[in-house]
Amino acid sequence: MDRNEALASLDAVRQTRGKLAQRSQWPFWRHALFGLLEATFIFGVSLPFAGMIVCVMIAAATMVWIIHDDKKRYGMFVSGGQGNRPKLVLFGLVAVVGAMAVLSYTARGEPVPSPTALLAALVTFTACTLGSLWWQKLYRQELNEGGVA
Amino acid sequence: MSAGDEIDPALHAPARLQIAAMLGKVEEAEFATIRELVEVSDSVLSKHLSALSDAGYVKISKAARDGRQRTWAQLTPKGRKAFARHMRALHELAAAAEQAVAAQ
Repeated sequence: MDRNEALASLDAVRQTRGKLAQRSQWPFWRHALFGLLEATFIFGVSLPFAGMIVCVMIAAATMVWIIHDDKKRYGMFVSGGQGNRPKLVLFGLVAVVGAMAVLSYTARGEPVPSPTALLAALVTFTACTLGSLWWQKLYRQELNEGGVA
Repeated sequence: MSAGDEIDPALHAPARLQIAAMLGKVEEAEFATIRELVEVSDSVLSKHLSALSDAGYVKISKAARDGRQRTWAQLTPKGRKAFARHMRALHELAAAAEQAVAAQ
């Protein structure tokens, strides 16, 4: 392989990833649904055992549905662990969700719905919805830059 | 170029490199989606996916949807490593040739 072939191959990779970037745009409701499932989980942490299990199951079922719908609608599935900069957003969201889970846990035993748990769920919904949108922006940016192997 | 960073014959064909480049950025993609992005015919894509699968770089699975069998492909960990090595080799080759031209 000579230099021209190497450059042509690198250009082909850039073009393919550029096309993937164009395709990688999910509607707002998809991001909001992710935020909602995380918020459901967080609110569930404040509930008695049976309520918590129901919330965890709803969140898990919604996640399974999102994956299934992504595959059906877009012909592919992209997890939050893709990319370098997008992964940092994922780590940030894990930290926020973890902190909100602790906050919600402190509300256990309070009358349902506890204002503390509702606040934790609202923060989670907002952070996860906006975080998901930010993740998408960085993922597409990285694909368009084409520099990542 | 570090040890082991060589042009991989299994990824040398442009279409195979494009397939790996795409699959490297998703978890899993359907045959039709790959075909649209790589812009090759069904038969050509089948051939390249088989070659990548034989090399252990791609895992192919079938799933029924809407009464039809769909083919899904995902890059294996071995495929990800091979692709990263191949890309490093390409970058090195391009840079080395540029340096040689500049030195003349």
